[in-house]
Amino acid sequence: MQKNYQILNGAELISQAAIDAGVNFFAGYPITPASSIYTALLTKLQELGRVAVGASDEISALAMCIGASIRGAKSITATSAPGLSLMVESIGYAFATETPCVIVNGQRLGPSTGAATQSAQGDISFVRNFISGGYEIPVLAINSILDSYETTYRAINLSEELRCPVILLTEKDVIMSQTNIDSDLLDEIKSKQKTIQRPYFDFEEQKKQYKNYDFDNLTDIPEFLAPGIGTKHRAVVTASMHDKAGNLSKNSPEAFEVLEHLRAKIEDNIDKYSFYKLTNNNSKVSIISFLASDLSTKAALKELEKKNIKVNHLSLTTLFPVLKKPIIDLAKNSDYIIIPEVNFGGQYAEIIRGTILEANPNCQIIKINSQADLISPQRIITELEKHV
Amino acid sequence: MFNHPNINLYLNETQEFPYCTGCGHTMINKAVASALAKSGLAPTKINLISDIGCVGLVDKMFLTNTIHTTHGRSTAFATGIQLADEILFSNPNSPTIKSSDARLANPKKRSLLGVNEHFEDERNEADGALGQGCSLNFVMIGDGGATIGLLHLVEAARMNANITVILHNNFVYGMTGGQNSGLTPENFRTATTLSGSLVPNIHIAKLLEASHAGFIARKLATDKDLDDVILEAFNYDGFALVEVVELCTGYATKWNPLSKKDIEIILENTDQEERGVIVKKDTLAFAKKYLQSFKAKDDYKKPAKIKNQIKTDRDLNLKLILAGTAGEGVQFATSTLAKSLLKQSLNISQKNDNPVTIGTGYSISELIGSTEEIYYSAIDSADYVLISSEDGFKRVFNEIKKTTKVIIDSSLLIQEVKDKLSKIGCEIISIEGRNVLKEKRLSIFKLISELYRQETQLNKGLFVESINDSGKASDELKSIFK
Repeated sequence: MQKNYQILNGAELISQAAIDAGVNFFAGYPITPASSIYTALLTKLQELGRVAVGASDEISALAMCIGASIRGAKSITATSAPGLSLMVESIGYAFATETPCVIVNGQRLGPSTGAATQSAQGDISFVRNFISGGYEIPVLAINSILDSYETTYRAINLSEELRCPVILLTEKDVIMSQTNIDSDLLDEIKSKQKTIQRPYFDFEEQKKQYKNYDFDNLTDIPEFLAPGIGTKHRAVVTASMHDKAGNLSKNSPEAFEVLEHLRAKIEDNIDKYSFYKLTNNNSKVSIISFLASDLSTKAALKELEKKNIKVNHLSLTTLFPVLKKPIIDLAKNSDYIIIPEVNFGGQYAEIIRGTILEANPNCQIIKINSQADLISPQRIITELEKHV
Repeated sequence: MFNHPNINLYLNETQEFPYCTGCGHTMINKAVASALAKSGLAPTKINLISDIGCVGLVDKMFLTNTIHTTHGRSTAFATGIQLADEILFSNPNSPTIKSSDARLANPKKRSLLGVNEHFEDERNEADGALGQGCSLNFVMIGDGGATIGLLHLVEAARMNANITVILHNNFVYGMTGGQNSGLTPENFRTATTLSGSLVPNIHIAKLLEASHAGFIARKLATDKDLDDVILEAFNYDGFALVEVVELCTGYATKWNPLSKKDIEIILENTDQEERGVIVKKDTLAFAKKYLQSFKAKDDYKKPAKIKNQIKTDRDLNLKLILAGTAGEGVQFATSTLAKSLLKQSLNISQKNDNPVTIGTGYSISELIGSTEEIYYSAIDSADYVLISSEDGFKRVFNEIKKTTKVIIDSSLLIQEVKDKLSKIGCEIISIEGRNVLKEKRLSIFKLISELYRQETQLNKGLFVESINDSGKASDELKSIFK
């Protein structure tokens, strides 16, 4: 059957999704393996008359992105661990000021400068734990080249919906590898996406005075007012501890309520962004996968199906906050859960170990790890066959 | 000193100044408020972006929008706000700060009566929630922010972002106890240089002038016309620095004589005695340059589509590694091969590798062509390894298995290489490439031609078609596939 295809890599699809989702501001600094995302975004944004600039370093890049978002733009930037390390302070700032922004982390082998052209999945713990105070920010994982489109779109929507920074986690192998994508399939995926905007304060109708960080329930998202447009209301933005109006306050009950809201806004709204796929085959053996290990898993499961062996498969897009519901359901019915990861020690497995064992103390967690590149499907097949 | 009738529309007179007695910040705050009042802009058209320090206590004093940021980064955030404001959200016909004179002349637009509600709203319904741009963006920053954020100041100046930076220079880091800063002059005493600093100050005005800043002014906090110079900076369409030299009465005055005369001596000794507007050049602000350079098209360019044309007779799962030297077109050859396989209804997956320095050393591509969907893109055991140079051989030698067929440029088969390969026991197909080609780098194509000879279900015509479509086929390359 004749079809139309395009040969695309992750970078191209990330950039297309960003544009289609309304991104209109990019400031970046090149770093392998994220540089191709920079180039792809720059080209498209400038074609459309939107803003794309090179910054003098990663600190500047993200600060400019966040500044633009404070003004009302939709911003994105892309980097790898050495650059992400420089961005950590500004991510905290975006979190505390409730400013949307998407940061793509294209993982490479660390530590530090490491190996720029080696793929890895070693930043999982890092992206969970770099906000002072232990606050979570959403982390979505890209699980294939094609998946780069939808997950990027979702990340941008999520960042607007919750008014927070979102980490879009991917890796060298997906960003820089090319495959044939069915053009009709891509168009179908594109047509299903709806763009979400942050909630705007209606300054025409409101009788009451605008408060920058106002909410009734802790999980509510404060309404946004762009600073500099000359309405009757002031915008007051700050990352210092503040009350709902944005006024500095370090020990009032309302200021502590605001902190509680920052936590609740992310953790208690999880039902809005629980992206995963669960295939339940009533097996006692299960596998949890994400990032490019999801591909290795699919290859392994396809081979096993030929031998009529089926296991349960939980494929995660939302990595953080941890999706307790599907993991607990899986654990309750599993004797074995296999978790393949390209890092030293199974970072995600260790993070969800407590959740699994609390649900089922008899469940055995089996980690399949390698420090770089990809997990070979044969290793997954061998491990699954042992227990089925 | 500053007694503009509208000053209370900008300065929050219900708040007390949070600074030490005699601190220059109080005077600068008042001068800024006076400048804003003279501008006639609605307070919420104004964004005050504050850095960290005593200077960062300023937010509650102003009735403009306030954005309090992290240490040193205020200038970078301000640059982002301003670029978005003018490039994305401004209506080219809207009045800007530059035409404030026109606004002053129009009695309808000028109101004296109260905060915000008495400024005529110039917005249109079409502006929506994010227009209309051309806000006034200025940064309140001190020694600390300027030192940590030096690169952001340089960048904002170099880019000519339309922001005004009001640099509160009191020679120390005030809030944290009076430590030495990047602006502390040599011999100046601070909490951390009690016997006098051994290191001279950053000459911020010269640095930013060298960074192409179009407007630079230096004033003292006590100057009676400080508000007018600040207003001139606000009105400047481009990057403007107003360095205001002042006293830190909490710390600096404890250890240094700092009468007005003493300050003037310090400024003279540090080659900073020039006062007033030092630099004012006719420049084009970044946003305007950007809008001129990038006219919006309807849509972005999408990658080319490729139709599959024929099918293979049987199922195929071909794993190939192509290896050569950087700059010789190995990755291009592989991409072309990938397109040809796709035209033959095979799924493809291609990964390239170079040493980090792309221009030298090896260049390899891994290519899988399969009738099945490809999930795993790594090649554990290649069917064919095509080697066109020594760089390539060194890089892929460890990938060669006993079952791999090695198609290799004959020039590489020196005894040492032959011995290594015979130990593995793989099949070796030697092809005359570098020895007979005029363009040595076309060796990889000779090896691909052999691949087509070996794998008869692959359609060479599709490869030739793809080569011709690329527009990069020299006559010698075409002759390889005759």
